[in-house]
Amino acid sequence: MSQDKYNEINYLDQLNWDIEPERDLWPEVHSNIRFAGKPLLLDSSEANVSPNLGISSSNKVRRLFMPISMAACMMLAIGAFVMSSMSFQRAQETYQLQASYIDYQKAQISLIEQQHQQVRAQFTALLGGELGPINPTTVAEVQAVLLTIDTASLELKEAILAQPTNTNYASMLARTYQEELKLLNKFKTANGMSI
Amino acid sequence: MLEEESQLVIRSKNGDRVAYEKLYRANIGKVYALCLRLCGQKELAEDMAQESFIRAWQKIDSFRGHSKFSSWLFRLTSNVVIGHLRKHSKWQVDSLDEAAYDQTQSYDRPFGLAEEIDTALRCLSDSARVVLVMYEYLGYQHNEISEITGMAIGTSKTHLHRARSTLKAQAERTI
Repeated sequence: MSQDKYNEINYLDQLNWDIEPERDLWPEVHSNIRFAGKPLLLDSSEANVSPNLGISSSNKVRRLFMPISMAACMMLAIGAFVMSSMSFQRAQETYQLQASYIDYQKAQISLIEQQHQQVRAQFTALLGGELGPINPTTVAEVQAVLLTIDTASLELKEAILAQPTNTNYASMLARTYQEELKLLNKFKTANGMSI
Repeated sequence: MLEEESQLVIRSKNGDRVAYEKLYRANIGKVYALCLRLCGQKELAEDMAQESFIRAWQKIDSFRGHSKFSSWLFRLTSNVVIGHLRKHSKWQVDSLDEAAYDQTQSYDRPFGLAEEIDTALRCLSDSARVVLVMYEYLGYQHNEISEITGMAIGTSKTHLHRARSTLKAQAERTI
């Protein structure tokens, strides 16, 4: 072979460009792709470009789009973080308000309960004959009404415990005690008693 | 693209691994050879070929059939190998190391032109070998090589010139 002939050679053409690897790589490829998804292409360097045609315009657009989309994602993430912090703070404030309201309500109910117990004890003593004999039928009727009121107030107290933020139960309990007090006053007036 | 190959690509896009194995069998020899020529080491070439086929499976939806599947696969493979070399080896993007070219003088001389070139190729620096293979075999231009490898266009040209000279010198010794 002449020297000129060698100058024209693309030396790489002398090499074998189709070589089977010594081991079969497919089992490992297969096990890797078995559970692998096929995410969308984001890396422009591996897009469908013919080696002699250069980088396609869509790749240039994609390359330009990447930093913009990353910046947008970061802004969104920061926005979401700020919003969640604010709503967390609001939730905390609401929780604190609710907690203080529940404490206030408990104190109020406890006070009403104390007053109610005092009135009830006093009235029971009167019914027991402290101010002289009362018709037993009347006493029995009043006691039956009081029992009904007690059952209703007990159920309301349980409901308050289950839902401490529900204001309806507390006001219903207060109304029940007020009705009881009205009933007792009527009874006392009718029988000439005073509490 | 052959009809059968296009069908295999479509089936692979739909998740058919049997079809993808056929594409693998049809292309593994060329992909492995490319990896071997680019990185110069058998074991690394096997890893790179394997990685290329895994990456190709993940990105096959982006192949639109405008070129041959093998061309697309070669480009992807060269990116996988170059990415690895840039991360793990001494990669010359600006200045050239003259010693890298002197290394070709020191190996034991094999028999025949192909063996001579093969050995000379493996003794080139990673960056010089990559430029030579990309330009001579894959048909890239210097601006594309620069874009993919991150080296300056002038550096790419110099790598090519010196790598060619080295191979030519080795070839002349076998005459």
